[in-house]
Amino acid sequence: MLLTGFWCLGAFGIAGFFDRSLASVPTSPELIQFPRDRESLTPFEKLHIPRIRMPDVVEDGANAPIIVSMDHPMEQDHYISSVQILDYHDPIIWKGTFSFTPDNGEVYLYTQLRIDSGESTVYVIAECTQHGKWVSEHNIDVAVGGC
Amino acid sequence: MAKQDHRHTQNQDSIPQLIAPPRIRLPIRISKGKVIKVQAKMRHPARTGLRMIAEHVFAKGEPAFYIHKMEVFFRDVLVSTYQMSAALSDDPIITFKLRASEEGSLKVVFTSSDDKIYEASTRLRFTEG
Repeated sequence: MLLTGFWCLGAFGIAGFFDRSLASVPTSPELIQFPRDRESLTPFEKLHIPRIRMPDVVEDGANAPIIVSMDHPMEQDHYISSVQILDYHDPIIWKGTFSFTPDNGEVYLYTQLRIDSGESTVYVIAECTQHGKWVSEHNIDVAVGGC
Repeated sequence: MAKQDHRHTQNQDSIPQLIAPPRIRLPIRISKGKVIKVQAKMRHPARTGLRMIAEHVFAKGEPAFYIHKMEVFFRDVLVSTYQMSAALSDDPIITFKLRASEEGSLKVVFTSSDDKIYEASTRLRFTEG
């Protein structure tokens, strides 16, 4: 877990260096939060860790579906303001950033990604207006690359 | 049915034929105050601007061409913005949620990497009390 976290933080820093659009991605460890135990999340973590639904094996990397959802409340002063999708194995690391407002009611996003062939990890960073950025990940194996 | 992959089969001249105005799909039943799923889709190619020169090795190729932003306006208020890279699929389908607090206009605005703007709008009406 510690190694994974360390690798992630380093990777966010690298992405921020290469991609201006990621300039807002924090590189300080205290700003990115990981669950202490992924197998048994606390209620607070359950609210803040984005759920990723996507296939473990993707045949066509030009069309890899992903669903990101969260149970976090969307109140005027406390809501999820954005969700970012990243894959550091890819030539194009940053896939997109979806900004939410309380008018969305719930955090839910379905889209399709282009992902290079081979094994990689898709990261989703959710930003809470009161509790910072939270990371979730999903390992995938892509048969035919889509980049 | 598999989606058509426009990456290597079309040249630059045929791009306009691959573009169609966006569309919005709403659920059949909408009641006041409920959170609904909204689907926005548009026929538009996504070219990364990269060409593969070896496995996992890429070089710059033709210019990137893709939808880079989607904005959602509900009752003329900006509700969501989706900023995308070229690493999204052709003909993007994006589904998100929206609280149906009132009846009103729902507009989705797509902006392509060459700054062309494509809009779709519909009226959100309650079908149930």
